[in-house]
Amino acid sequence: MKLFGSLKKLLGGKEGGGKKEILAPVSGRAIPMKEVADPTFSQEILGKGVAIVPTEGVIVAPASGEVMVMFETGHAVSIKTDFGAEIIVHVGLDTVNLKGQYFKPHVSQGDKVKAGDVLVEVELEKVKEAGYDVTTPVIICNTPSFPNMVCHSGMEVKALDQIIEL
Amino acid sequence: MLKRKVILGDLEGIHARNSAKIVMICRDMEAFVKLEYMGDTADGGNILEIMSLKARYGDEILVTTDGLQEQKAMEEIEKVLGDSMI
Repeated sequence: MKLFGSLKKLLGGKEGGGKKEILAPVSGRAIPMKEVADPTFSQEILGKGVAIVPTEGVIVAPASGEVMVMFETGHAVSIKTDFGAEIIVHVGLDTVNLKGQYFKPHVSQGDKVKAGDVLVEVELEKVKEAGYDVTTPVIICNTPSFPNMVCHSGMEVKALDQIIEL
Repeated sequence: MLKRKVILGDLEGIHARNSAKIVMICRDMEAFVKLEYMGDTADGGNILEIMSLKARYGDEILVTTDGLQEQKAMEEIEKVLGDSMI
């Protein structure tokens, strides 16, 4: 059994039978992308995914991989997972306009991260007070590479709960 | 094939929204689009490559469009990148 377990690990599988999964980067409410109040996201121009209305300000890596882009402003980060999914986590809508205020990036472009590593800390209440919607879309940019993609939304999630299967 | 230098007029530089608009232009038109900045090249259809350029307000981006609708694609991209120029 031990051998079998390590063999499974070797093949990249977890208990889910080798399913590729994207986890919630933050606790909150998972909503369908179509409900995001910004056509760039709701029309799925960047790709399909799930958005989280966060209840806390620690944003963690939704999968293991490499940081492709970390905006200096900390409002958006992208990760290419070890199995080739290109993910963008965009913290809040129009938050580029805050120019980094209330955001504290923890990783840089080129960093290797594991699922659950902290990517960005955000002062959620301050961002809300400044008049911004804190909804955080999690988008798979190369959606066409994953025809069997399944998105889960309409529930409360904790950070690292599964939200997308690829 | 068209090549033009465009000064980035968006005060926030390259970010998700303007990158997304460029990806849309690439999807909607018959034109291959390439952006070059500081020795890096991005495929106009790939949002992550565009955002990875990290170009800022006032920077010069070399835009190449190629294909049946290269003229229209170039005009649209100039609008997206340069519009908020003061």
